[in-house]
Amino acid sequence: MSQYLLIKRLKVQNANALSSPFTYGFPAVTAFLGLAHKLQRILNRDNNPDEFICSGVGILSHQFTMQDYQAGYERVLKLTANPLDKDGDRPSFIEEGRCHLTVSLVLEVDNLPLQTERFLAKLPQLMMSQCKLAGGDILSIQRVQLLADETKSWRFLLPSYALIERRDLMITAMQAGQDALDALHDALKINYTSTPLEPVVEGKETKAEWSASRTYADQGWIVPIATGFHALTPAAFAEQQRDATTPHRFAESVVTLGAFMMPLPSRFNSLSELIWRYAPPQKDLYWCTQHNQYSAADV
Amino acid sequence: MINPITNFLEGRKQKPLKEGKKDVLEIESEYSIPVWVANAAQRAKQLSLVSHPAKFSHPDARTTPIFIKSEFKADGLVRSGNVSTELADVVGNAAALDVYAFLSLVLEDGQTVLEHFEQSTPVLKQLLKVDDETFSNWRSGFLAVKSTDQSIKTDANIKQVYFPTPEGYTLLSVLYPSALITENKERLRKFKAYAEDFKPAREARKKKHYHAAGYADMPKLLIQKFGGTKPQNISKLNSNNGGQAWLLPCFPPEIGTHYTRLPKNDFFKSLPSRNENLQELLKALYRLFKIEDYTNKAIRQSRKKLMTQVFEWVLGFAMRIQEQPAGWSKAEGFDLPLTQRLWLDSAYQEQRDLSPNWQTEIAQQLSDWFIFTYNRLPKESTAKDIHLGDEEYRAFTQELLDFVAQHEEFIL
Repeated sequence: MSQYLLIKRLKVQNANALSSPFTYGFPAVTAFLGLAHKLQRILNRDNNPDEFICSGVGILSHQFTMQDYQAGYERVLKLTANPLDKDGDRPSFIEEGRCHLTVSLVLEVDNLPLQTERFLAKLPQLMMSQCKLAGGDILSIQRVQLLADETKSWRFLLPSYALIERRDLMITAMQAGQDALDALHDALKINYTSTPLEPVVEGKETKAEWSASRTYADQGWIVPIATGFHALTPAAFAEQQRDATTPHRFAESVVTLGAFMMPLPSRFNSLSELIWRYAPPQKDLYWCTQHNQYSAADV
Repeated sequence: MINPITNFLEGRKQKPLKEGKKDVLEIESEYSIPVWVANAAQRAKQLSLVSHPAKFSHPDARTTPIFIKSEFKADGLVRSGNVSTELADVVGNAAALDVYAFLSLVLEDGQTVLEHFEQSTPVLKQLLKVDDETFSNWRSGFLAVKSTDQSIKTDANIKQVYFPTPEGYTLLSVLYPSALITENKERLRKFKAYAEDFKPAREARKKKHYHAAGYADMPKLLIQKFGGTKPQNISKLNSNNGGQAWLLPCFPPEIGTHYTRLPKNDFFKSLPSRNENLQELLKALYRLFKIEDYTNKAIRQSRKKLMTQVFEWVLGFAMRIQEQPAGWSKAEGFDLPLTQRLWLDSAYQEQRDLSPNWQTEIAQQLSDWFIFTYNRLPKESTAKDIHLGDEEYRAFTQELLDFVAQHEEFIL
């Protein structure tokens, strides 16, 4: 039986904010699962199923600051390039997006060490010294606690917004004939429509009231989010791969829709519905998903 | 009949003719089919057709050329195969890009020169006016852009990710789908303030005039640049894009990063009721309530979702204030009701137990505010049919009260 471990207010500096070729901002879901997996590896080097297992992570956002600024019509990245070269000029660089964020994580764990209290007490130090989140440094962790009784646990998560998978919205749109990019754009754009306030006469300007709306207005705060990878080539050994024994494939990021929702029990049946996990392997997909009323059945 | 290939060469030779650095006859001969195409066939091997160029990751990254066509599947993921695009990318010596321009020429039947070479069509043979042997030489030269490289090579400059699997790990070299990036940018273009598509509608809104179609906007796009001043060094499509990719924002809602206005007399009166998000929610609620059958179950569900969001919107502000240093409400000039102090000022936390009903009271204040704000919305509008009838009003008020009562425990 899994237990839930709350890592409250994890403050991260300079995390990667360019997590897919289509999106910027909040780090990819894979980055959070990467941290969870790293924790498992620290405590259980061989991923032994009888020892400490961290099988999933709930992602709760408290604060987020993107390192960017407005330039004309667009936003551009705040960049640094250092050190300066020998003439004191800025070296050429590959653009890197960075962000600062404060999140709480709900880790889904099995086989906690027997001296649980001691383990929980040393966990923040362990994470700060040995883990990164999306390449960013963990500056502080407010506290770590076990979420024992599910119904009472919810209040410990607030105030925050939980990241929820909304791939179902994309699937519905794609089954209705849209391609993936149009489905994504449709979900994110703001529509401006007008209602005439007087009879419309051809060729004459009519007074009207304008209003703004989003396609999924009643579905909450919809965002695009990178949730994993799509493999392009079969598994084979490649020159210059990081190690020679692991099967290698070329891949690309996959992006779908998500939503930030307050973790209120009126919306969720259990803590388990907040948890992102690695999806069971499919032919070409290496990705993360959730199991709740919003997540779609696997196609 | 117009020969598109002759046309193409005609176009290309204009620049050298203008510059006049060489003899005109020499230029004419250089841009004749037998000379130019033969030369291009030799240079074709300097280019590779790819779907995922490595240099987007790092200008020094070199991998085996990856050219992938994936199948469409309604799996809800933006990935290769799920985006309809005809675009293909090419990498290699930027000086040989004219060869690719030649190969992507579209002939009368809608197929490209490259596709004609692949199928060795008589049409192409005739356009080029060559014998079989030369044609087949040229063909093998040009087909070198489709790499048959059997070796597999990734690069230390490519992001290589270990992904856990039941068997252990798979190592993934993550590449950029440049055709999809280009497609993304092309399709986002119409949302731009300067784009022609929606210009009349944008103008109409500025003047508050009616426009039948309306328009759409995609705010907060970010520009990511690839290749600096030489985007052609990354790939052909990157060069077409001016070295820019446009990225969509993924920002969580904010708690506490805004400037927080502390309420002096009443938290609910201090809420910025004209806030765009709130107005959008209330209008959506209103539209749902206007639907005649307001007891319909699906509509009730949608209404509940919207109410949850309004509730969250208010809680968001409350949480911001709760983050303030304890005792803020004791400062001079502040005169908040006790229930609100218990709720919002952490200095009063311990006194909460002494007033067991404070949550119910806040819930009551919240629904009063909700109904007041909701009801004020239509009055500000000049449209006529917008007032709620008495019966609807009572029904909605009751629904709201019930909703807030159910959520009492979340007033923390």
